[in-house]
Amino acid sequence: MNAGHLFYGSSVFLMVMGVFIALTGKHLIKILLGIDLFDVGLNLLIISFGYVNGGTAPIFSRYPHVFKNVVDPVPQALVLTAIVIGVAEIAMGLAIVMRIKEKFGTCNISKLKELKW
Amino acid sequence: MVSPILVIALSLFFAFVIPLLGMLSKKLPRWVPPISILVNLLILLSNMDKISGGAMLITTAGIKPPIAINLAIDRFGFLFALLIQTVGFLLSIYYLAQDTKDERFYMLFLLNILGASGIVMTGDLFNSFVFLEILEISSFGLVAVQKDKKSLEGAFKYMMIGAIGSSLYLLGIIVLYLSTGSLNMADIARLMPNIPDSIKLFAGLLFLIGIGVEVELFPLNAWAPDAYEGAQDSISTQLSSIISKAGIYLAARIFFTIFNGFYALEVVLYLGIITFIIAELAALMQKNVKRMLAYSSIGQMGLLLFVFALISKRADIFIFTTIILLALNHAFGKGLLFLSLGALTGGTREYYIDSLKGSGKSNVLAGLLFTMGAFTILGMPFFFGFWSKISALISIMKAGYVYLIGLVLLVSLFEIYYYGRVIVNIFSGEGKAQKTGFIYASIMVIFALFIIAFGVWPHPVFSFAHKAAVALFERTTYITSIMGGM
Repeated sequence: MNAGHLFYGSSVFLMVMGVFIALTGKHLIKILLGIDLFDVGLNLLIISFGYVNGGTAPIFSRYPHVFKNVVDPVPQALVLTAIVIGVAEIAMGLAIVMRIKEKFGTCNISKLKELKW
Repeated sequence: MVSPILVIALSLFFAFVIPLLGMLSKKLPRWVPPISILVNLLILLSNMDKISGGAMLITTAGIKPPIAINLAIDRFGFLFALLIQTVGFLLSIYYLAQDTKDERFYMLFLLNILGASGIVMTGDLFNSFVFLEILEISSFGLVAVQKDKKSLEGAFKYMMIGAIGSSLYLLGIIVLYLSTGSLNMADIARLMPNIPDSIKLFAGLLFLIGIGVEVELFPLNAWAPDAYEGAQDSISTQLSSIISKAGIYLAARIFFTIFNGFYALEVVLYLGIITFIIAELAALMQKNVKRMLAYSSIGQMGLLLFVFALISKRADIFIFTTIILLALNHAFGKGLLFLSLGALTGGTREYYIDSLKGSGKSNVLAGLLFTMGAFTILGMPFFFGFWSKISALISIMKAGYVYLIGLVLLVSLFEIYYYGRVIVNIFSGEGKAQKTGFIYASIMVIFALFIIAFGVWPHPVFSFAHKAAVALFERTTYITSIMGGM
C-alpha cells in the first residue's frame, strides 16, 4: 500500500474530526481543541502532499546521487509558518476563554446568551 | 521614493516597540500608532507617481519572481492601501483621547492595520494568508478588548468561524500550489489556463469560504452582528471600514486576477443578493441601533459582493469602478455612523432606540453627523452614496439584470424606514446633556467632509477609481509587469 494514501486518509480524518468537535462541542476548550485538531490535520495533509516515496530531506549536498530523490521543501516551509500561526490563534482563543470564564462563570457555550437578536 | 516594504517593516517595528515604551510610561504608547501610520502614509504617497500601468514590483532578497516573496502594488492595491492607512490614521488620532490603561491595545491596533495593508500590497499567495491571519487574530483581540460579556462572546464566535475559514483558505492555496508549482499570484494567473476545471472549482470554493468570512457573506456572517455589537464603537468602525475592505480586495485579486473571472462566481451572485435582502430585513426588526447598523453593514457588503459577482456575466471596467466606489462609500459612511452613534450614547454603551431618545437634541453635532452618515448609506443626492448607488444600479442594468434594480430599490425603502426611525427618534423628546471631546468631534467631522467632498465634487474620485479599476481589469499587464515579458 502506498504510504501517501495512508497519510492523506488519516490527515483528512483528523480534519473532519476537528470540524465535528468544533461544531458539536459544548465546552469552549473542546471547541478550541477541535479547531486545533483541524489545523494539525491540515498541516499533515500539506506535508504529505510534498512527500515523495522514499525521499530524503531536501538539503543541498555535494553528493548528487543523494539529491535525486528529495521531498518538496516548500510545503514544509509553509507548514512551519502555519504551525506558528495556529499557535497564535489558539493562544488568543484561550485568552478569550479565560476572560469568558471570569465574566460568565461558565465555559458552556449554550450558556453564552448575551447577544441575541 | 522610499521602498513600500518599509510600510510593513516599520509597522512591525513600531508594534513591538509599544510594550517596551509601556514599561517606561503609560502615556507614551498611544503616540506610537499615529506616528507609525503617518510615516506609512508618507511612504505610500512618495511612491504615488511610480505606480502607473502595471504593478510596482518590490522584490525581497534580490530574487526575481516567481521565486521568493515579493510585493506587487498596482493602482487598485494602492487605492485600498491609502484607504486603510487614512482610516487607520483618523482612528489612531481618536485613540489619543481615549483613556485605555492597557498599552497592548495599541499594539493590536497597529498589527491590525499592518495586516490589512499587507494583504493589499502583497504579490504572493501564501504571504496573503499570513497577513490575513495577522488581521484576523488581531481583530479577535480588538473585539474582545472591552472585556465585558458581549464583547467576549462576539470575539469567541468570530474566532470560531474565522479560524476554520482561514484554514480552508490555506488549503485552497495548497491546491493551487500543487497544480501550478508556484505561490506567486502573477505566476499562478499565467498558468491558470492549464489547470483542469474541477481543480479550479475546488480551489475557488475553498477561497470563497476563507474570504467569505471576512467579507460577511451569507451564510458565513453569523459572527458579524455579534462582533459588531460587542466591540467598542471605534472597533466596529474598523471592522466595517478596514477589515471587510481588505477582504473585498482579496476577493477581487483572487477571483479576477488569478482565476480570470471564476465561473462559480454565480454562487456569489445569489449569495450576495440573499445576504443583502436578509440582512436588511433583519436590520428592520432591530431595536438595538448598533446591531441595526451591523446588519445594515452586512447588507451593504452583500450588495457590494453582488455587484462584484456581476463580472462573471460581463467583465466591464465600469463594474470594477462601482465596486471601488461602493467600498469607499461604505468605509467612510459606516465609519461615521458607528462613531457618531458612540458620541450619541456618550460612551454608556446603551444602544436601544428608546434610550437614544432626544440625544440628538442635546448633542446636535453628533446627531447631524449620524444623519449625514445615514444619508450617504441611503444614497441621497449631494452625498457620496448617491454616486455609488447610481453606479451600482447602472452596473446591474449593464449586466442584464434589469428586474433586480426594482428589488434593490425596494430594499432601499426598508433602509430609509429604519434609518428614518432612528433619526426621528434622536431628534424628538428631551435627552440628557452629553458632551463630545474636541478630538472625537473633529475625527467625525473629517469623515463627514470626505463624504460631502466626494459627493459634491465626484470627478476626482471617479477618475482615481477608474484608473484603479483599469489596473485591476488589465490582468495581462499585471502579469507581465511582474513576470517580465513571457
